[in-house]
Formats: sequence, C-alpha cells, structure tokens
Amino acid sequence: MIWLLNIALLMLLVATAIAVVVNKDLLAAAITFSIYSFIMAMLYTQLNAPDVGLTEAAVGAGATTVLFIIAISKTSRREED
Amino acid sequence: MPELFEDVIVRTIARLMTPFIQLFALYVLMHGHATPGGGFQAGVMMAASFILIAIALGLQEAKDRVKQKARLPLESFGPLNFVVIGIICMACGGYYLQYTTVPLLPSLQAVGAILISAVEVGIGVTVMAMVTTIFFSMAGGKHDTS
Repeated sequence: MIWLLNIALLMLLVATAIAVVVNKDLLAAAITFSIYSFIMAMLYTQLNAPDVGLTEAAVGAGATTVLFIIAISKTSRREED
Repeated sequence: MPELFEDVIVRTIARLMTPFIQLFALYVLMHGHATPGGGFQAGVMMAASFILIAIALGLQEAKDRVKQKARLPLESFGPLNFVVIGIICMACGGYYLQYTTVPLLPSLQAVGAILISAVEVGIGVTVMAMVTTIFFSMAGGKHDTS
C-alpha cells in the first residue's frame, strides 16, 4: 500500500513544482517551494535516503525559504514582465 | 527584517522551542555516525534556531546571542580542525585522515569514533556560523556589516 502514498506524494510534487513556476506572487511561490521541499524530503525518506531527507528538510524548507522571503521583502512582491 | 512581530504567543512559542531545536541539533551532531545526520545537518538546525529567534524576537536579539566576535573565529575553526586532524594522522604514519594510525587509545575503533566526532563537531560549528552570518548579512541593512 506504500506505493499509493508514493504516487500521491509524486503527484503533489509535480503540482507544487508547476505552482511555483506559474505563480506571479513571489511570496506565495516561496511558501509553495517550501512545501515542495517537504514533499521532496518525505520522498527521499521513502527512497531509503534519510540522510538526504534530513538535509532537504533542514536546508530546503528551513534556511532557503527564509532567505527567499528576505530577498522578496527587500525587492518587490509581484513579478513584473 | 522589516518590523518586529509583536505577538505574545509567537514570541513565547519561539522562546520555548529554541532549546529543544538546539538539543536536537546536538543529538544529530553526536549520533551522526550511527543515525542519519552529521555535522552539516546539525549546523543548519542550530542556525535555524537562531533564525527562529531573529524572526520572532527581533534581529538584534539573535545578534546578541551569536555575536560577530564569536562567529568569525568559529567560521574558521572547522577547516582548521579538519586540516589539523588530517595532519596528525599523517604524522602518525598513515594517510590523510587515516584515523586508525593514531596511537591515542588501545582500541582502534574508539580512536576512529572520537576523531570522526571531532571532525563532525568542527563541520557543525562552521556551518552554524556561516548560515547565521549569511542570514544576518541578508536581513540587516545595506551598510550593516555585523
């Protein structure tokens, strides 16, 4: 039954990745990217790589999200094109 | 950071969570050879606790806890520690970082465990100092160098 969880996580991963790319609100994109990192950490743990999963959860979801939000707070929140 | 988030629940929870995050970071550091984790992960977790303090209690509060005078030597401590332990192993007749040649204890595995832990502690300290420095210099003002 674990493959159902894996498929659900992979579909959520693709959905969050697309949401990060298409979102014009950069703060929402940064938060979605942290969700992506958490799903990626769960998938690494499922793939028997808990070391990589721990790193992804600490760095991807913790540190880089904070750095992205600081960068957004120093520039503009909306994407201009 | 722009303005301080004045909410008593957020501030209290952040104050309460910080020691537990740091304790978990130390656990990950000291059990890195047996369980998932190691120096880098522990350093990032320790830095995350200071980032939590900076977000909840203000940037100055976090800067008071990890002062720049302490951060600058700690950033250089890890590579120096790495090189010194490697050179010690070479001086004892082995290759670089060949722990088993160091005649510290009768048990070779104990020597290896102690020296691996020493290298991991150095890596963790350096990563903690570097990540907090990157965060502080990004969150501070334009001419803020501390």
